[in-house]
Amino acid sequence: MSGAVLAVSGLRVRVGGRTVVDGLDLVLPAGRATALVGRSGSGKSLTARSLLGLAPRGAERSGEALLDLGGGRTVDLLAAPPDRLRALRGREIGYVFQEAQASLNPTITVGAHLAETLGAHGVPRGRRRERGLAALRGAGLDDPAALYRAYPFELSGGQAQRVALALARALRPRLLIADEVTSALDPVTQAGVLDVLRADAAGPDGSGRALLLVTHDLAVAGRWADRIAVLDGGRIVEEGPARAVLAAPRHPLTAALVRAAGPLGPPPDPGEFAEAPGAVR
Amino acid sequence: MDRQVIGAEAAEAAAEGGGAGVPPRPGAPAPWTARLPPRVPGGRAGAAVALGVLGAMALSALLAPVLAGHDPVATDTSATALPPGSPGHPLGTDQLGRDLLARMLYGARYSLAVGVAASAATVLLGTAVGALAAVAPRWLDTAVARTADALLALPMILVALTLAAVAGPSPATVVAAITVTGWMPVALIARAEVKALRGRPFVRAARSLGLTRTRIFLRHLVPNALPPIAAVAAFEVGHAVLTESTLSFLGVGIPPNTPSWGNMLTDARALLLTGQWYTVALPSAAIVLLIVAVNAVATGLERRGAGEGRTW
Repeated sequence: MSGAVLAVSGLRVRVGGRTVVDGLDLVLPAGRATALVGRSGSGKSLTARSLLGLAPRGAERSGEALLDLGGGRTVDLLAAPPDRLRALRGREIGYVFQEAQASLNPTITVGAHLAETLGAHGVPRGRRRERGLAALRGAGLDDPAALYRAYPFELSGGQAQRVALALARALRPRLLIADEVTSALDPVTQAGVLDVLRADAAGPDGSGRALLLVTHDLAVAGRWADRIAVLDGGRIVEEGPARAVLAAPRHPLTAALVRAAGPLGPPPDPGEFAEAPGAVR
Repeated sequence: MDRQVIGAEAAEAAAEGGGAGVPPRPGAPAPWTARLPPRVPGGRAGAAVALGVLGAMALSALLAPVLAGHDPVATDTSATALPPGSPGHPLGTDQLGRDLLARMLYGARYSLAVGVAASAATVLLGTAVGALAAVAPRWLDTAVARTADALLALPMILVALTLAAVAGPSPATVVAAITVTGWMPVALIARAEVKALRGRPFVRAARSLGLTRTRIFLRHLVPNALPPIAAVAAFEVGHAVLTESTLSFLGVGIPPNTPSWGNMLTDARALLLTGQWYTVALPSAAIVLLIVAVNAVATGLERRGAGEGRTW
C-alpha cells in the first residue's frame, strides 16, 4: 500500500435504514488526482463526507479508510474518535464544498475565516495573517490584502470558490477533496480553480499529496484527473487511468456517461440511463 | 408610496366588487382613498420618530436633577393638589404637594433603567438557554422547549407577583421577576434559529475545517441567529416597562414613595374620580408613549430585516 494517501476498503454507509454506499474500495495514490464520477444521487458526496465524519446524523459507517500520515503512521478514519477526527479535518484532509458563497459565514471577514482555521490547528496568533495571505495567493487570488478584509457578500462566485479553496488548503492537507466545486462556475474560472487543485497533487512538494475530485462531469474528470473511478449503486464499477477509461469504457454506465459528455458523440437514447445495470434503487 | 399602493388596491377592489356604488372615474383621484386609516407608525419614518422620542425620554431622565427644579420626594403642605400650569409647578402637584414634573422625570429614571436592565437580562438569558438547547442532546432540548411552552401558558402576572411578593419590593426583584417570566419567547426563537442554522453550508464547512464545537457555536451559530432576536428584544423593553409599572402599581415593585411611573399610578389611584385626572393621566401617557415608541422601533427593525430577505 506504499504511495497511497488514502486506502478505502469495504466502505458501507447506511442512512435511515437504506444502504447508500455498499462495499466501496478506493485507493488514492500520492501525487495523483482521482476523479470520483457518478450520476446525481449515486452516493459520491456521501462517500466523501463519510470519510470525514460529516455524514448526516444517524448514518452508520463500516469498513476501513486508512489515511497515511507519513513516517509509517496511519489512521483509520472510520474508527477514529470524534476529537481525533476533528483534528484531522482541515489539517490532513481539506474539503471544498459545492456552494462556495454559502459555505462562508456571512458575519465574519475572509481574514477571520482564515485566522480561525489556522488557529484551530495551532498556528500561533502572530503568524496567522501571513499564512492566510499566502493561502489566498496560493488559491490564485490577486490582491489578497484587500480580500482579507472583505466580507463574503462582497465576493464574486469565483472569488468565493477560491476563498473556500484557500481555506481548505491553508494547512497544506495531504488529501484534498473537491466536491462538485466547479459546477456553478464559468469555464474560465472553472479551469483556474481546477488548475490550482491539480497543481497541489502534482506539484514539486505534492509528492505526498492526493486530490479527490468528486464530479458528475466527465469532461472535467478527463481533463484534470489522472485516474477515474466510476461509482454506481454504492460501489466502484470501473476504475483506471483517465485516458483509458474515457477511450474504452468497459462498464455500460461509464459508456453512457462518456457518450453523454462527449461533444462529438451521438446523443444518448432516452431509455439508456434508466436501464444501466446497477441503477440506484 | 405604500399609501398609494393601498389606495390603488382599494380602488380596484371597489371597482371589481361594485358594492361601493360609486363607479371610479378615470383620471379623477379616487375619493375613498382618503378614508383609509393612516398607516400605523412602524415604517422607516415612524421608527426614526420613535427613536427620537426614546432619546428625548432617556435624556430627560439623565438630566432629571437639572430639569426638575424640585425634590421629587419633598412634600409641601402649602401647595397640595395644584393643577398643571400652576406657577413653579408646570405639571402641578399631588395630594402631598410633591412636584409632578420632578416625579415624572425621576420616575423615568426608574422605569427606563428597570426596563432596559430587565429586557437585557431577558434577552441574554433567553438567547443563552435557547441556543444551548438547540445544540444540546435531544432530551435536554425537548425538556427546555416544553418548559418554555408550559411557562408561556401560565398567567405571567401571577408568577411575577408571587416572586416579587416573596422577595420583597426592590428594583432588583422587579428585574428578576420580569426576566423569569419573559425569557421564553426569546429562547424559543433563538432555539429555532440555531437549529435552522446548523444545516447551513457554512456551518458544515466550519466543521470540515476542524473547528471545535464550542467555536462553531460561538462564532458561527449564535451571531447569525441574532437579527431576529434583536427584533424581539425591542418588544421585550416594552414588556418590561409595562410589567414594572404593573408590579409597582400593585405595591410589590419599586418601593413606595420612590418615584416611578407605576408608583405614581398607585398614589393617584384614589384621585381618579376627584377631578385630579392629571395625576393618573401623566404617568399613564408616559408609559403608553414609551411602549408605542419601543414597538415602533421594533417593527422598524423587523422590516429592515425583512428587506434583507429574511422571513421571520
